[in-house]
Amino acid sequence: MVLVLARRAAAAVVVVAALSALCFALLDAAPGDPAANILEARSGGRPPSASAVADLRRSMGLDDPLPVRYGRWVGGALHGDFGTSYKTGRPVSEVLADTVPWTLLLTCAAVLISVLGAVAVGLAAALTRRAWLRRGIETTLFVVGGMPGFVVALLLLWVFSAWLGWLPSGGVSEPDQPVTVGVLLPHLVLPALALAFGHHFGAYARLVETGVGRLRTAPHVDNARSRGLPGRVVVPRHLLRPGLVPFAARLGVGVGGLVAGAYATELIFSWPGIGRQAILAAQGQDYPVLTAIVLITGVIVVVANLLGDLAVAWLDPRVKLEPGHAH
Amino acid sequence: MNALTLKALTIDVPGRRVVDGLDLTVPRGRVVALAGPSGSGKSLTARSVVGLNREGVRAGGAIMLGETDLLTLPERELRAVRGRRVGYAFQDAVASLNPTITIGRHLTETVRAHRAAADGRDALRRCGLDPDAVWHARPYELSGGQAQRAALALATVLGPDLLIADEVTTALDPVTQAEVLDAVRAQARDEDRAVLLITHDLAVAARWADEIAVITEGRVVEQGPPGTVLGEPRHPFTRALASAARLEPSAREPGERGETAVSLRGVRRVLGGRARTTVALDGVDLDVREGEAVAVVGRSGSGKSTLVGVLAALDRPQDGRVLAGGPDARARNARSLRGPDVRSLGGPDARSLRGSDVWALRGSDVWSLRDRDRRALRRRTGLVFQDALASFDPRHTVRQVIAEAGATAADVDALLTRVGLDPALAGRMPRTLSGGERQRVALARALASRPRVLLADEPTTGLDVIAQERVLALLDELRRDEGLAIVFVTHDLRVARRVADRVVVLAGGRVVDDLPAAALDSAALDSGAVSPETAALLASTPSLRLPTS
Repeated sequence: MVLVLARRAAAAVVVVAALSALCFALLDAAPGDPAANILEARSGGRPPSASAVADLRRSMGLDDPLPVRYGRWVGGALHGDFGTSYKTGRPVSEVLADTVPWTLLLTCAAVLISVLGAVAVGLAAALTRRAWLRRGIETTLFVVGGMPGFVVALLLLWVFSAWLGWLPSGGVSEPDQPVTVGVLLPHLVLPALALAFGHHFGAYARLVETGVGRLRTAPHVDNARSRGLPGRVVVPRHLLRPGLVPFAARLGVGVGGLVAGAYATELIFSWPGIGRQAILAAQGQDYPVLTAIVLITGVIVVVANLLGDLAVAWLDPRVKLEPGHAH
Repeated sequence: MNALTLKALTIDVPGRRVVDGLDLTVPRGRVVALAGPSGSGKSLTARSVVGLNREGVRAGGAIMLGETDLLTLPERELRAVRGRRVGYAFQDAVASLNPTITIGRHLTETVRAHRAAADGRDALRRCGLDPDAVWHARPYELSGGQAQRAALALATVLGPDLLIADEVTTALDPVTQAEVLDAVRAQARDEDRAVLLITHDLAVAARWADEIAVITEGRVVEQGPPGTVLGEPRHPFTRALASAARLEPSAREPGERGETAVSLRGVRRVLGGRARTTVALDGVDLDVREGEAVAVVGRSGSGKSTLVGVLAALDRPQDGRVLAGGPDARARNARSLRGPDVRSLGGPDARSLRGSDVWALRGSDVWSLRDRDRRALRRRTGLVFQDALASFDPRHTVRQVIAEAGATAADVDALLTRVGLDPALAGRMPRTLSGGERQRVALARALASRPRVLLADEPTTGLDVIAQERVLALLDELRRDEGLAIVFVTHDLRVARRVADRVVVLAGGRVVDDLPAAALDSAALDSGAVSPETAALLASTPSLRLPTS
């Protein structure tokens, strides 16, 4: 098991390295000149002279060939130095330290809501004998599942913030107030719900429903009942655990989509995470920040996939994390 | 004292009454077999005792466990009865255990649910298992026999008054079957337990039950000791069942023997990966001639199914050669092409050759051929599996299943008629058919590519004796009338004798005996003319000749 994990971790490192190289090369190929942009921003919009741009390019090392610049960047990145922001001059590592925790908080809250909600709803739909309830759940899931994430977000904003006024519409705290848990939690609710219900929630709940529903008449469940086990043992151990395998397998992959969804959600709710930062950086050709964020996102996705595989292996021991089957 | 008494039991499924006034008593310390064909209501009856019936199934009458009527018990009290006073063992033991938890966990959760003080390890020991070996194992890590013993230990861990054994040995080889049922019977006597043995196999009932109750169409038509029920059957249905179960090789005319259809020479096949390997076939030589039926028998894990894969040219042996027919085939093939066989069903015969002259390939090593030629050869081989339904695309109708194998619309009707089915079935979904019907659809599909060799892997194992007899009779006809070479894999020596001219016994991947089917009887056992493995199979195979003891 330890060996398998080590192999998977090594594979993850290769993936992240490849991702960084690809990202670096793509941004280099993108149109526009960062040096010119920086000078234009400093001078308040006046087009900079060609000699000033050339001087800045030289001093930033932008004239070196791509492999040299990539090598320099990797050397720094390995020591935690991702360079400085073209726009603000702040070290990128500081920018990350300010934004990554917020995104992690939002994503983890959304995953938690997604998992608990999908299991609860899917289980109810699979086990109920009331046809109207099952149909109602399926219809609702169909409608919610068909909505893009930002529509869900706007809908939630409209109902709970604008109309009912129960929850704040954005940010992590009131203006000029320190961030405390008591203030943060109400601010977290809407973005987390929007992220959870706007991204594959319908598919997750259906996976739970079919996974568990298919086992309702399975011989091992009949056997458990024939031994007089109470429902509180039969349902979690004999129905839910084996029934959750397809859902868990999908969830590991889905977290990647959730992180991508976090970009838009953060923008809508003014959430100070990497998503908002990434969009600002892309607009301003702030390549050091953008490269670091893409890399961090890649790491999050790779780790989520690994956790998903581990969850599947724990749920169903027949699944062996053989190196040959690693994805 | 009677542990279980069923009084005028009725069971209704939506729209139909399946069990209609069934009376049955199971005394303590005795094994009572409820024997009947598929659909006779025996499993529904068994499941009703523990209240396991699906939604919409209604039971009426009385199910008396001792003095308690289980049908009137509220769910809560019924739950206290399940497992504690009634144990239930299922047909497919591996599937009846939760794959995600260990055997030990199954046992402890049962004991804990009833707040009892039973010892799970002791229950395993009484069922002939080593607790240390299986306690931490998960169901799929056990052999079929071990899993069934574990399931029995689980059903009896709390010392129930009644054990319901629902087709528990259908999937087991005869040696394992004998061991498991011997243990069930011994426990019934030692622990004064009533056992209700549900089976479709009268020979099993005759050998292990103290009493046989014959069920058909939801009623027990005859109940009594095996000697009386089988020796002097009063009801016509009992007579029909007994005669199907006897599996007599009924006056078979040997068909015209052709030349060799497929041969193996020194075939060795090793299964497994880096960590663990198993020698599934170890130096196997085999020749099958056209018009000949060869039965391959052996215990589970003896290499039978691997042999089918190798014969079908799907599974490549590491060593040895798979030869496509005899070397002198060219002269003969012209004649056999004109013969009255499935080829006359229509469609251009050349189509199945598709560019490769398969007759020219005869005698060559299958694995030295080009892929295209090997595929052409595969089309001359029909395959039939144990679980016919699983071998069909679940979204296909019967017509699509058969048409996919290369049959035209007219062929489909002709093929269905050939296997004794109504062509009107072509529009149905296979899952709505009975087990016997599904297996004939599988045969029709296998015949669609006009094969010369038919490989059948346990095709009748899940069928009741009456459906089985029909399939076996059909195979007999195909061999005789169309000169098919048939390789029939089975763990049941009785079926082997019924269907085949020759019986090949596999053990540990080797051919230990290759005998005429007629030579396989108790005389062979007494004379010592067979290998010990064959002798063990013979000794544990139940027969309808009554035990003398």
